[in-house]
Amino acid sequence: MSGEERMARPVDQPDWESLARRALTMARIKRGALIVFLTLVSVPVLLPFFWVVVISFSARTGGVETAVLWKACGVLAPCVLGYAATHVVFPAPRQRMTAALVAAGVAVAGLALLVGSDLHFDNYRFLANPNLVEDLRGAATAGGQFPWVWDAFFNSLAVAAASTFTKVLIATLAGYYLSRFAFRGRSFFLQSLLILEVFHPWMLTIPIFLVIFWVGLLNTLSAPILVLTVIDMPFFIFIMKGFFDAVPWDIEMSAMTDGATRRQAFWHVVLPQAKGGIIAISVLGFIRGWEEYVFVTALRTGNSYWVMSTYLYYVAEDVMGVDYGLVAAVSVFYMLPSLLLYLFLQKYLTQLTFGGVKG
Amino acid sequence: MARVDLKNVTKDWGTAKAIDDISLSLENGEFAAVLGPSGCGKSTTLFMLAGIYLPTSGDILFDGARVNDVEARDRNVGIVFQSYALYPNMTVLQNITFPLRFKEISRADAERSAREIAELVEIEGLLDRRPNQLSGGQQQRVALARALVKKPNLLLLDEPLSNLDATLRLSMRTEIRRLQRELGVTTVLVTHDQIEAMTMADRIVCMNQGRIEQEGTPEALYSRPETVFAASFIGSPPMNLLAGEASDGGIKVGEAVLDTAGDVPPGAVKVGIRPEHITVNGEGVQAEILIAEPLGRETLYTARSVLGTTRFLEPTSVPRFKVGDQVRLGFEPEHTILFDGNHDRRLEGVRAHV
Repeated sequence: MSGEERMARPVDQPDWESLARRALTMARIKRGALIVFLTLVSVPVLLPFFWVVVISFSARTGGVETAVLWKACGVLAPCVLGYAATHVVFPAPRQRMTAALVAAGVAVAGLALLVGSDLHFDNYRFLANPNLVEDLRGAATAGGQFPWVWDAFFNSLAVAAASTFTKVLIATLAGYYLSRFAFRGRSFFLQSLLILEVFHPWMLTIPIFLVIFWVGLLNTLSAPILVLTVIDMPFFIFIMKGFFDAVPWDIEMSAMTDGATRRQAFWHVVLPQAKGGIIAISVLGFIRGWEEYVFVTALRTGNSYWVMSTYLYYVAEDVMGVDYGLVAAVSVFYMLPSLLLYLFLQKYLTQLTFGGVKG
Repeated sequence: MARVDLKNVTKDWGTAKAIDDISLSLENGEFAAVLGPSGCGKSTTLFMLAGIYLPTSGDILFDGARVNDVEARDRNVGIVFQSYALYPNMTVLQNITFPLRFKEISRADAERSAREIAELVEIEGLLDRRPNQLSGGQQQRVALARALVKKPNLLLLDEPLSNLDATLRLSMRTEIRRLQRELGVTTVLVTHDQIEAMTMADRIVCMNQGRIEQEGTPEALYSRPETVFAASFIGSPPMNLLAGEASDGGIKVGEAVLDTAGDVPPGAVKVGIRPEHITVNGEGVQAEILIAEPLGRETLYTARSVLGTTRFLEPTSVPRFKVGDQVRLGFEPEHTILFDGNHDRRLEGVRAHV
């Protein structure tokens, strides 16, 4: 009896409640630290964009209004940090929503009160007036006639859209073929696609120039469209192959026993499942064409065509005396399409990594 | 609904032989199960029937007409894949009407037949869902409906139950059997699960290494396996196969000698005896229980004796013997099957007993 009693001495029960409390506190601290870290990291990324936007709406002829910038920062920084803090404290989505709305409201009111009177749209007059520099200075600029922004805009649109369309069409068909069919030289083809990725296309600028010259496409928009199409092709084919690899064979076989031809099976069943990849390479391809500078400048010998990138360069460099307000406004206008595309289609861009890994 | 024949069909992948000269006839409305281990060529056979693979040589006949060169889409064959292969970008209704899209059927008629078939497989409430919103069993039913909606000549089922849990598998087994009877469609089920094959099929085709080992009714395959492979593959727990040496004095198995009935040709033989046919504590050899596994309705024992290691079943839910117990094991001649030890084929008209 006495032996048993000695053995049954009280065992230390863990204090579950304090352990749980500690875990929750740690989780909260970690989340807070993460938000602070991410905020700090995004400041250098976001600040230039913020600066450009503020300048474009506030700069008066030539000068830069730093005061407006600092005032705007002074209003926005507390709002963002305050929202981050409430995000840590309140767990419920509804409370977070309210916090976001309050922060946004305070920010708008603060901006209206402090810098509202300094904001104007004068710098955006280039969108309506082709002769803004002549109007201002009474004479044309060094390079001759000032280009009209909508010419550049639609040319850029044409370059981006045409090259994207061709790229997506060819990459999709080639990716499907590489994914599904065995043919002589398939592995060699796949390896050479990778090798092409090793060399930077700019190294080929001079040969490309010569080819374009001999073909007779110099100083036409077709030149950059063709070159851009070719440059991205290997990478895009690889991405599409990865997406098609991920579509099971069963589904295709099933469609064909269900009465579809191979083409119909591709169209109705396989292609819809590679939709994410198609959207992703479309976005990438479009942004690539939209922002292209090197080949559009290299493949023209005068001012035979204007695109947005050369227009921005012209505004920044060729206007006598830099007009920061104008440059900022043009930059914002130039960024807008890429930004919108990215905002609406970013979930497909994140899929890209998965598709690429599978390839 | 069709009669289906395979005549001397061979399929090579490069130098490897996947299917080695098989011939098979399926009657109209018959339910056949192709049973075999993975890699035995059973799915290849199925895909050749569907028209997805082309045979290297030999003929495939539907109702007597050669269909080798008829494309998959024109064969009017319904397949249920192991993965179900539903089209994820379509709703259930669109999935089921997909096979009718390519036929000259009005959209309204197509939807009507889709709804009829959906009712038959009891998924009429799910028609607006997407495949990823369905459970495994529901996906299976959609796949069945899609295969059946075109009123196929031939229904092919490629391991359709292997992704379902045990309870669902049991109910789907009866369900598929019921549908097949109701529609009278010639059906080929490919499976590696011998219970599935035994319970569902009118006829089992047992395959191994690209060849047909044996075909026949489930009862025939169970009671009269023609080869050692068929004997060991069909039946759970598997048949005991005792390797021995036949001579005039009987069959020497390990240290024991079995009496024979009939003239056993001298040489290596295998004596097959099913676990449920071993008698306990009657006439027989001394054995020690090594393992006792209660299976619920009965108990499976593994025992060691002079015959080697043998398994036997006892119809008691509570084990009668413990590990280490001594028992006497025997068997009657009518329950034994003798195989030629060199060719692994059944020896006709001979028996053995302890």
